[in-house]
Amino acid sequence: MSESYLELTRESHPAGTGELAVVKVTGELDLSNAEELTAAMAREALEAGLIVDLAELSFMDSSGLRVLMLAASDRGARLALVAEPDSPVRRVLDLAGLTDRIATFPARGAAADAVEQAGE
Amino acid sequence: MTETEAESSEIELDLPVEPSSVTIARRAVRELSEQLGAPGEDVALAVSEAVGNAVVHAFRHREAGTISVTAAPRRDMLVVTVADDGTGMIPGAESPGLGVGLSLISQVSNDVRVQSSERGTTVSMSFPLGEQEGAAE
Repeated sequence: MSESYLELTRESHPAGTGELAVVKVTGELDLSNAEELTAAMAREALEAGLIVDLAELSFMDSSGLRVLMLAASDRGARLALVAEPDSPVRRVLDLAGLTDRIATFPARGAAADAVEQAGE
Repeated sequence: MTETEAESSEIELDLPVEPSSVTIARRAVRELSEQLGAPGEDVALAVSEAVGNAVVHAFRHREAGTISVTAAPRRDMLVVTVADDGTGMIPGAESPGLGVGLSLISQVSNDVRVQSSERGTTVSMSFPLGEQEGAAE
């Protein structure tokens, strides 16, 4: 298998009176498959909140960063990321300065709170 | 694609200009780096960026060629090179994303050198050896 393993799962997280869309990303994200994440996020309504859960992602390079940045430019504060502290993916986010531009949390609960507040 | 491993402590890969080459190169060099005690996560990120840059930028105005990746220990460092036979870096050319990749490489490697001419671009990166837990004796 030459392409990176990547699994994208549509989940939801309870928030307020409803629920927020969660795209859970598992595996490795690079040039060979970054567009799959673009497509998965594009299936979610722009005006709704969206959490991208990277906690199970073992590798990401700038191809993934680019996809997340484009999503953030469309969705603003209605997009939040979940990444484990001290994880390789969190480190890449920090190195690229992305955590200054997209709210990033260690767990879905805090991410959901931030996205909900942005939508109020 | 030709793919050879001259010795267990060295890697030589000649890869086609396509996105899957990023994955192939990263996995191979990461495995070697971890055997030798180099920081596998840093090496993986740097290789992914360098090969990705070559795939996206090096052959934008010409027929796709080859991306060559080598990795070998040299004294107390792992030296990794990613070379392409593309157009070289063109000053002022439209090249979205190029700066992000090189910035990441420079942050995770001890040293990065870029040589570019009309015959292609070579990125040489070095990483410390023997500092990681679990390094092979």
